[in-house]
Amino acid sequence: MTTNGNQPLIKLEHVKKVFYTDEVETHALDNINIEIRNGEYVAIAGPSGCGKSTLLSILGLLDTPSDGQYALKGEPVARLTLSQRARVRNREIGFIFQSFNLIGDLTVYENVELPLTYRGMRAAERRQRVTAALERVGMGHRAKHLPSQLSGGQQQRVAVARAVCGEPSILLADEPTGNLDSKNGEAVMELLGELHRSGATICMVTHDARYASHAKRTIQLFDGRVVDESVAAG
Amino acid sequence: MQDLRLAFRGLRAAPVVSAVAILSLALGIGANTAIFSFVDRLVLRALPVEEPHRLVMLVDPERPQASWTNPIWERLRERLDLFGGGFAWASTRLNLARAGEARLVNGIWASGGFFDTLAVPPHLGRTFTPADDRRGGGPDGPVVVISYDFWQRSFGGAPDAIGRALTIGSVTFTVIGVTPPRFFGPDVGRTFDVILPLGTEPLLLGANSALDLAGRFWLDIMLRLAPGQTEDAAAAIVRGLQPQIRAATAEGLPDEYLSTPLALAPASHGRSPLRTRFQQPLALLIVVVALVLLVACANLANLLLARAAARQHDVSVRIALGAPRWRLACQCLVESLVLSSLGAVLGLLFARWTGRLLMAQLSTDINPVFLDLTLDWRVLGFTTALAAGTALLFGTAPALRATRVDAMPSLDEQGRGSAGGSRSRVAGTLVVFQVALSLTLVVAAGLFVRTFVSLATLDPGFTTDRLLVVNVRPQMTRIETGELTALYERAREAVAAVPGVERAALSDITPISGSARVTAITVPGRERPEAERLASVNVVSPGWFAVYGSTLLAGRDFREDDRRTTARVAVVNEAFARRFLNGENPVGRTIRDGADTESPIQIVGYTADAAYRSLRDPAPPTMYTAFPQRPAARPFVSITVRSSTEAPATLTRSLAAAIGAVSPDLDLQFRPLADQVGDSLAQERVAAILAGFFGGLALLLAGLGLYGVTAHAVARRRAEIGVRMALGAAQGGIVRLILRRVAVMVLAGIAAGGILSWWAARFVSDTLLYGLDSRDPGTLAGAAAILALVGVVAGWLPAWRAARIDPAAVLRDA
Repeated sequence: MTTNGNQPLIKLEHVKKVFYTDEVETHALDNINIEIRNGEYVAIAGPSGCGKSTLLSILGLLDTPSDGQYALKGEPVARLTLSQRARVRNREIGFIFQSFNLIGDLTVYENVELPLTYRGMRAAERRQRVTAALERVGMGHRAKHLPSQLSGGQQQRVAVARAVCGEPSILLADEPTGNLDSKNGEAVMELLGELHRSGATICMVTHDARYASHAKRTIQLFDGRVVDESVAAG
Repeated sequence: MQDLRLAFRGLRAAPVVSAVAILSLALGIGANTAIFSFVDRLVLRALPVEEPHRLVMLVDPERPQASWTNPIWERLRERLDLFGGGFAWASTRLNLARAGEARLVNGIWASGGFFDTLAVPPHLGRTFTPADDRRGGGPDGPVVVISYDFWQRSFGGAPDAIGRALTIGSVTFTVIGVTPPRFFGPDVGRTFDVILPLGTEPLLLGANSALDLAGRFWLDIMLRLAPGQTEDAAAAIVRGLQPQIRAATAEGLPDEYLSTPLALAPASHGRSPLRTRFQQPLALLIVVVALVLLVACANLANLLLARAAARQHDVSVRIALGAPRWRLACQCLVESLVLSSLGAVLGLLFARWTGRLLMAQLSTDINPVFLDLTLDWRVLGFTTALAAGTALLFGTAPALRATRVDAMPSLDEQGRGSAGGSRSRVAGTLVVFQVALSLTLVVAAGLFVRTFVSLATLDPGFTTDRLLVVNVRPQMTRIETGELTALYERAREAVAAVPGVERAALSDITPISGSARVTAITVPGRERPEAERLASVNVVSPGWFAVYGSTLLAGRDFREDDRRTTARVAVVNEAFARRFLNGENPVGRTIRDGADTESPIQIVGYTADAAYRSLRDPAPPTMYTAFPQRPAARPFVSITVRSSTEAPATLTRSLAAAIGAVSPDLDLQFRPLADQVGDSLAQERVAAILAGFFGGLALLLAGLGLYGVTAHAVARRRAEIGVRMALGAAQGGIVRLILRRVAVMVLAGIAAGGILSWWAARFVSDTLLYGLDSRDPGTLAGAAAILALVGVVAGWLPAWRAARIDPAAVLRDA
C-alpha cells in the first residue's frame, strides 16, 4: 500500500456498526465520516459506551463495519481476506492498548520482536529494529525481563516500542493511559508526543479531556455519532 | 525455531502439568511400541536369511501343527534335487553337564542341508553339510555349530573356539563354526545355543533314538523353492512323491497314515508355536494399548484446550499484531509435537523395559521364549509415526481453536472469562469418551485378573508347598534300558535318606507339567465307543499320594510288594469312577488297558480328583499304576521330594550328591513344584499384569481428566459461584452443584462404556478366561463402581475448593 501526499491515510465514509444480540439491535456507530492524514495526531474522545473502541477496532481491521466504506491509503479494505487483513495490520498499523497486552511468556525483547517475526524479517534486521525501538522508549536495559517484572508505565513503554518497531503507517492507541497513574500517564503521553513530532501518525481513543488535549485534532463521539470536531490552536 | 523455543518454555512454565502429560504419553506410546515390537518379531518379520520368500514348509492340511518322522524325511531327502534345497529339524534341550545337576541349553537337531538351504554363512569357521550328517558323525566325527551368543558366553568370543571340544550328554563334539549374531534359527520365539547334525542323535539317545521310528512324529521339514519354481509346482511334486514315501515308511502304521494329500505352506516367517498360542492375546493387547493411548490423547486434548483457553488473550494480541492464523495453529501443533516427541523418547525406554518384562514373564524353564527386541528402524519408525499421529490427534482441536479466536472481544476482556461454553462442551465430551474407554479397559482388567486369581487359588487336589521335582534323564549310551526301573528305585531310596527330606516318590509324569499320557480302558461287560474309553495314566511309586498330599478315599496305596511279577494293580480317581463305573466305589473291580489287553488290572485304591496336565482342565479320568510294573521303554522319570523345610530348593546339592552316588550317568534337573505350577499360568499371569496395569493407567488418566475439567469449570465459574454464595447458597449446595456435573459426565461415560464393553466382549474368547463369561455382570458392575468412585474423588477436590470461595473477594474483583 502506498499513498500520495493529497490522499488521506484513513478515510471513513458513512460507516455504521450494528451489533445484534438475540432480538436486540445496538447501533454502536452511525454514519461516521472521518479522514486522517499522514503525520496527524488525532484524538477520538467521548464518554464510556459512545463507540470509541468499536471505531478503533474498525480502523485497526480487527472488526468490519456493517455499512459504509473504509479506505486505508486509498485502498478499500472491505474485500480483504482474513490473511490480507492480518498482513495489513502487521505492516501498516501499530496498536497500543489500555491494558498493554504484552504476552506474559515472552521477554520484553521477544514481545517487541513479535510483529517483525510475523513479517518474516531476517533475524539481524529484527535485532537492529527491536534494539532501536527499545532504546527509543528508554527500555533497552530491560530487554531480558518478563512483563511481570515491570511497572505499568514500563509495560506501556514496551507496548509503544512494539507498536513503532515495525514502522507502521499509523499508531492506534486505545486509552493508553487508562491503567496508569497520572505521573506514568503523563510520561506515556509525552512519549506519544515525541513520536508525533518525529513524523508518526497517531489516532488515540480517550475519555479523558486532559489527554485529548495533547492531540492536534479532537473528534467527539456521542452515542455512536460524531458530534464535534476541533483543531488545537498552533 | 521460535515456536520450538516457546513450546519448551511453555512446558517449563507448568512443570507438573507437563510431567503428567509427558508421562501419560510415554506410557501410552511405550505400551504400543512394546506390543508392536512383539508383533513385529513374532508375526510380521521374515526370517533373517536370504530370500526368505522362497521357503516353504511341509504340512498336513488337516493338522497344520503336525510334525514328521525321520523315515519320511529320509525318503524326501532322496529327491531334494527337485527343489532348491531342504532340511529337517527339531528343537530340543541338551545337557552340557558331565554328571549331576543338568546344565541345559537350547539345541536343534538339523539335517545336513540346514545351513545351505537357509543360506546362512558362518560367522566363524564353517557350518555343517550333508557329509557331517551321518549316523555316528561324518569324516570329522561328531561336530557342532554354536550360536554367536553361546560363543560369547561359553568361549568368551575366542577365535580358537573352532576345533575345541564340547561335551553334550556324554558325547564329545567338535566345534566347527559359529553362526552370525542375529541368526536365531527357523523357530520364531525360540533361539538356540548349539546345532547338531541329525545323524548324531543316536550318539546321545542310544536305544531311545527316534531316527528309525516310523511312528515318532518329531521333525519339521522346510524346503527352498528352486529359482522360478512356484509353491503350487513344488506342492505338486511333493504330492507326486507321497505314494512312494508312504509305501516305504508305512509298515505297522494305521491305514490313515499319510493318506491326506500333503501340502506346502509359506515359511518366510519361520515356524512358531508361540505365534499360534499368542495370536489372540496379542490381538487383544493391541486393542488394549491403542485404547490406553486414546485415553491419554483425550486427556492431553483437554489439557491443551484448557491451556489454549487460558492463552486466548495472548492469541488475540498476536492476531492484533498481524499474526497469520496458520502460524498460530502451527505453534499449537509444535507444542503438541514437542510433548509427543518427549513422550515417545521416554516411551521407547518404557517399551524396552516392558518388552523384557513380557519376555521374562512368558518364558519358563521348559519353554524359554526368545525374541530379539533390540531397537531398529522399524520400531523407531513406528514410534515416530505414532508420536506424530498422537500429536495430530490431541493437538488438532486446540490448534483449530487458536485459529478461531476473535481479537477484540478477548482484548476487551483482558484475558478474563476466556473459556466459552463450546470449549466446556468439547471438554465434557472428551471426558465422557475417556470414562467410556476406561470402563472397557477396567472390565478387561477385571476379567483377566479374576481369571488369574481363580486359577492361582484353585485347589488342584494336591499341595505344592515344600515339594521339589527332580527330573531324571539317563545317559542312554551308558545305561541299559532294562536296568532303569531298579536304578530309579535305588535313586529314590537314596533321596529319601537325605537329611531334610520327609518323603520321596517316583512318577512318570508330574502334575501341571504339560505332559500327558492316555490309554484306552476296557471294563469287562461294559462296551464303549473308542473315543469314550480314553483315560489319563501315570505310573507312580508307593508313597506318591502321600508326597503330594492327595486324599485316598478308599482302598490302599501301592506297596513295595506290588512288583512286575505280581498281579497288576491300579489306583483310580473319582472322574475315572464316574466315567467307567457309574460313580461306584471302584476298589476291587478289574479293568484292562489298551497297552496290555491280556493282563487284567485290579483296582486297589480310590483317590480324590486332582489336576493332571493343566490347572484349566478339569481332572480327567485318571489311572495310576505301580512303578515297578511300568513298561521298561520309558526312560525319563521324576522324583518328587517333600522337604521338611519351606525352601526345598536348598536341598538341590545334597540330592544331586545322593543320586550321583547311585549312578553318575543320570542327568538331573531340579525345580520346585510351585514354580512348575506358576509357570503353567504364564499366559494368564501376563494377561492379568498387562490388563491390570493398563486398566489402572486408564483409571488414573480418566481421574486426571475429570479433575482437570472440573477444576477448570470451577475457575471459569468463580464469579458465578461468588454471586450464588453472596445470594445465600450454602457450601454443601456449591459442592452438589459441581459434583452434579461430574456425575452426569461419569454416568454418561459408564453408560457408553458399558455398551462398548458388552459389544467388545464378543472378541474375547472364552479360552482366555476361566470360571467366568466375557460378559460377566459382576465384573461390569465392579468396574462401573470403581469408575464412579474415581469420579467422586476427582470431582471432590475442585468442588471443595469451590465451596471455599470468598464471595466478597470475588465481587470486589468483578
